[in-house]
Amino acid sequence: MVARHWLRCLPLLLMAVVVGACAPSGSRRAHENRLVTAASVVPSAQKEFAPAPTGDAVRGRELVGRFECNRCHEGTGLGSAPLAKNCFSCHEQIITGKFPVSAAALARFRPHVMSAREAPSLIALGARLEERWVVEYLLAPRDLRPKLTSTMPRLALDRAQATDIAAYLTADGVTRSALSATSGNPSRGRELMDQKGCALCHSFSGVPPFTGSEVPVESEPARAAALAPDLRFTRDRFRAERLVAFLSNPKAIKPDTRMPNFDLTDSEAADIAAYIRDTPLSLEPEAPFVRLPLLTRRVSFEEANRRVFSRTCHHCHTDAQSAGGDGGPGNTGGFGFAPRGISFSSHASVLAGYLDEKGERRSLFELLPDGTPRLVAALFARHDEARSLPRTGVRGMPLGLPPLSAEEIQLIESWVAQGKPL
Amino acid sequence: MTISKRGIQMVAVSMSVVSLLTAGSSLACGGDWYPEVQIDPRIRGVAEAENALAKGNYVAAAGSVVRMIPHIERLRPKTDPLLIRAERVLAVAIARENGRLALEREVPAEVLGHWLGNSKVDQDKNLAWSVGALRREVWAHKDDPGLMTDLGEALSKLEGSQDEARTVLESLAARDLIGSAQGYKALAELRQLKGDEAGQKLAMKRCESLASTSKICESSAPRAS
Repeated sequence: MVARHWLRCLPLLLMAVVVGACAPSGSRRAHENRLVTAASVVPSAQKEFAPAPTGDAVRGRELVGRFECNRCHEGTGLGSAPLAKNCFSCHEQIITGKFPVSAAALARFRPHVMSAREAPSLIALGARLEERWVVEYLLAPRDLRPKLTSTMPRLALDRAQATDIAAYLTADGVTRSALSATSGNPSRGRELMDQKGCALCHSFSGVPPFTGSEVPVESEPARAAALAPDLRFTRDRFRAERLVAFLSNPKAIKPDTRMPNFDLTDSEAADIAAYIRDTPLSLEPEAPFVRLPLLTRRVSFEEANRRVFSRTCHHCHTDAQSAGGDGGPGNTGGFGFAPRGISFSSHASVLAGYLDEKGERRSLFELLPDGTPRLVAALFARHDEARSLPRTGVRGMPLGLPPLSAEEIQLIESWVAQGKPL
Repeated sequence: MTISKRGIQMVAVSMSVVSLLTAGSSLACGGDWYPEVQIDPRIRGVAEAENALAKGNYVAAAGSVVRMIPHIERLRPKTDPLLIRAERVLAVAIARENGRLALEREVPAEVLGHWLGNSKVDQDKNLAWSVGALRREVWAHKDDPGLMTDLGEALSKLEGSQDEARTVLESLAARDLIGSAQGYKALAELRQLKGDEAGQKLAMKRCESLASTSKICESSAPRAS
């Protein structure tokens, strides 16, 4: 029914894509105006913090369009993707009851999409983040937000492209405060973080657990928490000066942030920034993925499909015909990927393989040099990617989602080893 | 007193406008408005036929299609996805039943015609139709290993087409793209015809590993002569 609805809406959606792609983004323009206003009150000497872009921002904008960053993110300057191609609009409509299906269907869909409602917006990226960090993150994304189900997918980007995209996304960088993080008092910063209840939304791996009271999050604290990054990454992501400015008045830097304004003085903001940036981290080494032995019991396609394929793979790799002509980015193409023609809709379609770079069909189960079937290798590779160790030649799957559990991979590996029985 | 023609026209237009405006609410019709929806029963029927085919109930699958769309042989669907799916179900079922559809108890003889496949001529006619229908689909979807497998399987049953069947299925097997246990079974039988015992065993092993039940890989019933 969802597919049929999309099909009916397709002409309008296509029109929306064309119009959206051509029209300047209102939110971005408004934000740029805000930045200009902010910049005008900042002494010019402080602008030295903005790094000179090394990439080509014009080409970066074109790449942001090609890699369809606006399918998941707001604030790309390209407008939102149409409903059928938007990562989260459908989910949001389902949760809020606006999706045009029966009440029974809504009730059935809702529990599955509650945890996937949004991605962080890219508004004012340059006013906060290190351009160099953005480049490295694009090349080897990792899970920054422990309470958010989806993660940044590992796109088929090379370094030059990542640099151009980072140059475009960070082109609006300005600074607000002359205070540097090192001028703060980390111990006082820690106390303030306990008092302000930062841990209600943020985790901070590698530091002692926080205590603290409730935080006055404006609305939907769970959604605010989902977008709150693990603060252990902040020392690399944020420039010190920008962090202080952001802590002092988050909405002045990023108007759509859910981070509340704590009315911190510049000195308090500098103290917190000093703790976030400078406190030593005591990180547990990440446990390597442990491959479980093959199951000796029979595994059918029905079980593999029920427990893994239909839950995880089907969303991006589906039957194009029954999905209103769009089989998802993993079938008909998207996010800069060529159409791969992969469908997890049926036993026969899984056996039908994928389209390689030359457009020729190959088996999903062909053995790689180490003897691992390609599909299974992709599931292993996702565990490596989650630890920022991307593999060459194999893209981790599921793209942009947490890795499958060892038990789920064991199930699929066993099914493949048993000859992929129906 | 006389009423001008223009006055009558004005009153008529006003009444029409008022009636249109007041009828804007569905409640004006005495309650909620429900569109009259006619659901094509073939949508469910074709899905059930596909399920029957997947479960190995080939005759039942074919019977559903023939009952629902008795003139399917003449349709040669190109764009209607439902008819294309129905045609594929029938084509595959015919191939797996070697051109015979034992439906005489379920479908009237005048509807069944040659689908019954009581003679070798009728069986060949049915298999030739099956091959033709699958060829059209393969032509329309050039890169679908599942369809190619079905075509290879149907060709393997049609006299004089075994060489083509072998070419199709060997090409798929070399790339591990055979889409069904029945495809491997057909390949095993074709290899046996060529005296390739080792290849036959290998294909049969793949059939057995892919199949939901070992029954699928058992030898087919001999065709009527």
